[in-house]
Amino acid sequence: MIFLQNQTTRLDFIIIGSGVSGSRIAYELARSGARCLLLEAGKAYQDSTFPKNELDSSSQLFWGGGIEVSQDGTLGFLRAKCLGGTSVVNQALLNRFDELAFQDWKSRSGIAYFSTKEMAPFYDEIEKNLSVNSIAEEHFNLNSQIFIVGFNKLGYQWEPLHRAQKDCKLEKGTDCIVCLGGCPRNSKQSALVTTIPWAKSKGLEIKTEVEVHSVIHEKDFVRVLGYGKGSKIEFIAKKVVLASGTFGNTTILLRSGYQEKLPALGSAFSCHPQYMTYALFEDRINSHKGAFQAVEGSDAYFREQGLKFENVFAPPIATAMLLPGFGQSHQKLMKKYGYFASIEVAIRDEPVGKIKLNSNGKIQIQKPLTDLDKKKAKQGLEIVKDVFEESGAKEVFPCMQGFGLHLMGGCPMGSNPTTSVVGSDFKVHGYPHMYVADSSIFPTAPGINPSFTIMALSLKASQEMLKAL
Amino acid sequence: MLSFSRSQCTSELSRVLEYLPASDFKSLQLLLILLSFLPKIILLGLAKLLEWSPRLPGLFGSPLRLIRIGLRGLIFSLYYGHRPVLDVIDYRVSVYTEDLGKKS
Repeated sequence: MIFLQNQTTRLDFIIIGSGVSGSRIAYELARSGARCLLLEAGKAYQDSTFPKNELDSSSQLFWGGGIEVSQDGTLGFLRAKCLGGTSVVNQALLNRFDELAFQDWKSRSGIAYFSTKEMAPFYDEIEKNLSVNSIAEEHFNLNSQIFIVGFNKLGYQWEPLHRAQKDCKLEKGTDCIVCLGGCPRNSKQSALVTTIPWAKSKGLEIKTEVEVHSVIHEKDFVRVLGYGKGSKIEFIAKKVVLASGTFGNTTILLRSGYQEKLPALGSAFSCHPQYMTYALFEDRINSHKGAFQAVEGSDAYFREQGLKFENVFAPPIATAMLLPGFGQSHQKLMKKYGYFASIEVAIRDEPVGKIKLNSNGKIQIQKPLTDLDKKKAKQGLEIVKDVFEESGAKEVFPCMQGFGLHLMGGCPMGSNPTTSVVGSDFKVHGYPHMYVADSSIFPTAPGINPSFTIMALSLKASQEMLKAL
Repeated sequence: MLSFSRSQCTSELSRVLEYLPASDFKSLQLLLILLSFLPKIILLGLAKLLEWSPRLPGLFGSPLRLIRIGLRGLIFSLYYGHRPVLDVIDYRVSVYTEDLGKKS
């Protein structure tokens, strides 16, 4: 039974997904006068209602009750399910892509505007209204200092991370690790405190706890079908924007039956597999206190090798998952939680992953690691081990369980409809009323944090969408 | 440190399971039922095998890795999400919010 929600006016756009892409597009469209509805599968939290501990934030703020896993179990994926999307739970890192990333995209996709020069105005525009800062050196905790000591001794370059943050009150004792479950002081410049309220002030309507099942592209409009609080729902608009990420967009389009007309649907999945290494020190490090993440490797050599190093730490449940062993030996390690430092290496993986649906219509994630991916991971972990040894670690624990936090591809952009899903105008090939603009359009893994580029591409996409209205 | 059973962390079970997809819940339930019939020595052997699973290839390694993630996720979420255990490892974190008129 289809229940048509009270929809007295025909919508111009339905935007599916409220992360940095969907919310940016919603803002740009709404402020240009378009009638827009934003649908989000997760709940709406705010600074005062975020879960207060890791157990609750892990289960409540992420798809799958915490984690989704590749079919072969080698990679776990963290995908936020809440208003504001991953920007609510991530570390708010902002990096522009370099020419290396864009040239790779240009050659693979045939899209001419993939260059630092062409994309610069979009980055500039985004940055005008976002507070972007680095952690001041006086607030580098011991975990950051260990990273720096090791890097300096080995002659590697490093620099402070750039983050969308303001007024974190580190000098008053704020522990930023809390904001992995949502920032209780709205210092993290997530979509929840930027583009979403901006868009709402321009008339955007938002419905949360609505899971979109499929989209039907008709001649002059699009139907969006799904479930909201136990009931089936249907919305109609002139255009739809899929901004629910790689897994979300791909599964919606697969369930909608577009695989035959879009042979590349589900292809080119990559995720920057991240491997954390923990190192035990003689003295207390308290890596979880203060700014738990502050610096990254900036050596050109690492960039060429497809490696990215960041100092980082994790709360207890995540740390327990990452440390090896079980039983009493594992407990003994965890008891030394305050004596650990940690560094992560993310690799620029090859886009050979595939997103499919199984016979029950459930997502099936195939993300094999190629020989080159494995070589990079091994090389990265060895470098981290060297860094920790130079820093005076007693014992080093590389974690073999990789995690993908940057979910990319599935609806790759390109000029050839047989090898891509979305064209340079962000329209799905052959379906002029459907758009995609988030990380699912990435043709390959860039090896750089994707968030800023998702925002920039979404800004560009919104201009295309307005042209078509 | 407290043992898993003495910590009484299973009182938090509903908080972990509430958001688990139905199909994952059923798989986990079946796994736990099967494990409950195994003698301790077999469970110990299985635990050691699961620790090797990240290195094991293809068809044999995949189900073991999935079981490892599922079990560790459940056990560690319950145990290291439990306040008394967090106190033992001295995990206390907070965010300053008094300037916003809220208690930190």
